[in-house]
Amino acid sequence: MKPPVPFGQYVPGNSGIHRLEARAKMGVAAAFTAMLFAVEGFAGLGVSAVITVAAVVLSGVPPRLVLRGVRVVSFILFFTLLAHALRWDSATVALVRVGPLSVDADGLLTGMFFATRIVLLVVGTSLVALTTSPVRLTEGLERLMRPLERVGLPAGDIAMMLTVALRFIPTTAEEAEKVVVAQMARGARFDRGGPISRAKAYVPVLVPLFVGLFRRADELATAMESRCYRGGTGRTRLTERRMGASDWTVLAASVALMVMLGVTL
Amino acid sequence: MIVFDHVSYVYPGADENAVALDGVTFSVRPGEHVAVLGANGSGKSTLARLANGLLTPSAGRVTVDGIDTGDLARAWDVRSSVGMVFQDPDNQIVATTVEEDVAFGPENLGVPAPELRTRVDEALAAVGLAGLEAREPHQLSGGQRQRLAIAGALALLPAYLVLDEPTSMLDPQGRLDVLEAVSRQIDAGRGVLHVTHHLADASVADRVIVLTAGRIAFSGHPRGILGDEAALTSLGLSLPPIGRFAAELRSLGVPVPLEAMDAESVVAAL
Amino acid sequence: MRLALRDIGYTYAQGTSFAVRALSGVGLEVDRGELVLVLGATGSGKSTLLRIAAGLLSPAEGTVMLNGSPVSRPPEIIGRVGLVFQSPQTQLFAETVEEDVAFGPRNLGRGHDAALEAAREALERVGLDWRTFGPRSPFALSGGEAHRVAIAGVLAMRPEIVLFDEPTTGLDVSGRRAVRVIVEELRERAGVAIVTHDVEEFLGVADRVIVLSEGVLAYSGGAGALIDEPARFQAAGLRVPEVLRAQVMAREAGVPMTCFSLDPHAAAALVAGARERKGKRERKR
Repeated sequence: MKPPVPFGQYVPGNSGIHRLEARAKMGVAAAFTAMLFAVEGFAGLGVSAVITVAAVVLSGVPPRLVLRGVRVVSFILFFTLLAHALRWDSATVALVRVGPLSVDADGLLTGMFFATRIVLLVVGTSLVALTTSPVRLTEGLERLMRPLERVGLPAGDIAMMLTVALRFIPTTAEEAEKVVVAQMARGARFDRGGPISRAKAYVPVLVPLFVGLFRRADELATAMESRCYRGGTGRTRLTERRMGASDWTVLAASVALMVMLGVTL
Repeated sequence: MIVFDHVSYVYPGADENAVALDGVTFSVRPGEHVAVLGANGSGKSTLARLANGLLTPSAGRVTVDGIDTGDLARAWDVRSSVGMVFQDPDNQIVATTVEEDVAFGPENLGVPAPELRTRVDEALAAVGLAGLEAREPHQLSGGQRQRLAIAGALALLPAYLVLDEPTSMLDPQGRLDVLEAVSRQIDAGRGVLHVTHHLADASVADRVIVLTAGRIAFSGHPRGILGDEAALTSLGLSLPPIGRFAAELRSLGVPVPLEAMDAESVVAAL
Repeated sequence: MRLALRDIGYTYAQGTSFAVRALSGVGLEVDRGELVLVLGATGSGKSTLLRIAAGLLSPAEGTVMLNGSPVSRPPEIIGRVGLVFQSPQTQLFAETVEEDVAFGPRNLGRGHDAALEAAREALERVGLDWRTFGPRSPFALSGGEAHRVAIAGVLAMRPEIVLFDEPTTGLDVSGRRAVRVIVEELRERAGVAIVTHDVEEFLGVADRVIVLSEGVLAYSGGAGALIDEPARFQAAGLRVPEVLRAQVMAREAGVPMTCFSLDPHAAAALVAGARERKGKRERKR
């Protein structure tokens, strides 16, 4: 049997955080974000950091994978730090001075505050994607969007689109690999020349891949129509995860705690 | 009953002389197995798409249990009573798990959740995929995926199944598994319209229709055409090796039935 | 030219928890003028073996030899060994048929004129007139034509060994016939290996057969010995060809068959003859 294709950030597991309903997780993440922006001093940041580390430990997701998200924003972190710490022609007591540029303790502290906030924000929110399968995530999003159907947002159609996209990711990956190997068998090389000629080398892969995808899309639409698909409205669902008592409890407790911390710290 | 009454079809934008189907008349009763044979471009797939209203005739009429497929108000009645299965299983599976894919059709009809569960379980059992509910479709073999597509059609509780070359991309074992699942549905009383280019698939049908250039060149019991190699060749079809073996035995004086197209039925005549 | 694979072993995703052993100790030899059939059920390692033979995958174990000398860098043999994939028409991309077919020879560094010349010759070989089809778009062809254009795209590299992966899947009668003609023509000047689970199509015309079963060699030898012992098919998870199955069943039903044939006409003569002998003997008694 083929293994499931590892996709996105999801790290399968069975922790309490994994089992929590997607909507509850998204709610907690939203409250967490609000708290991060509400706290004003290092005390608040410290408490937030403790909560974040506790959540990561609870989730059982390897810290290496959690920090992968931080690496992506490392550039932003660096500039945040720099922008706050650097002073031009400053008269204050500097830690380091190079010509007219200086770094002082005050600026450095402010920079660290904002950088840490970004790190916590990234870790906290990416934990949702790390512990929720894409299918559950889509489902959760759909349920959150459903009230917006009344104002004309096609939540069902958007959810269907996301589901179909998820369903075709492994198929498309397989197909892309096939075309790459087939063109290699005709002598195509993807590792020669500069970036432009490398990009050009992919034309013989991209054209068949897109032609194939359009054909698939067409056939899929026919098949969906044959199975009575007429838009997302009025559809029922085989499995609809409900917000259980434990989901509500976790959500309510977390939100209450975070609001309190956000207000007091 | 699915009734094709003098049906012609010209694809929009195509030359008026390029008729995909030309004056085709036939019917499929509940419990009846009708096979449609023909070379590529003979109009087989067009015929399949006309049977559930995906296409509507340029001339003539298609009715399903009395409902005109051109009656837009009842399009969904037609589609839920005619289940379609296409050639490439990959392009008809929409969901990320086996059970959710089977549920897709009845979900569209707004069937409530407890009944959805029953329909899914029954459809999966009918095609021999019970136990694989939570699998991802791409983890299944080709034959399993095509049976999943059949289960998806069955979950609509259709009176008829229309199959458009469902075995042509499968390995021999996958093909047999699919044929077995189909034959169980015929036994259960569903009418089956099976478009194929495998003569062996057609040999077990109650009736065979051969299409060439959009017209019916033959319609009748398989024995009326499968023993006639010259006629088959002129229609762009060819006997599988077992068919030629049977024909040769007949010419050597062994009374092999004309529709014999598998080892069992040939050897029975010895 | 002679392509020889010795003791080939390969594992996908080696060193991870998803590791899948695809091949162990498999050999394959294809010589000029030969047609070698590689049979095996889905998942038996056929496709992996093909990719290694075509220089697209480096074997983890074993050696690939060309004319007796080991190939150190597998990509060297791309072009000299051509590989036609399953449903190759899905790999067409260029604006014209001619350019698409010339893609291979051009990649191999042949000049513009030489590549075009090779493309035209290859189109003729697959039975398509280059004047008519050369300037057309590869996306405006019938299924059968597109399939042949894609085969021409491999032949244009003038490979000395040509490998086919499931060449008849999804084809109708005329498409299958076209593939047969191309293969028959090719084997006169090159070596051909065909990987398939469609036993009936090529077994009758193959010089040698190897059967793979779960990544190991289940049989290697002539087609005749395989036909005389149909149980070998079953052992490898393959369907016994229907004509052969009928003969086995006839023997089990008491018809005194002494040997089998895959050719329908010869097989019918064998069965009818054996039946007659049996009839005579019974009448004597």
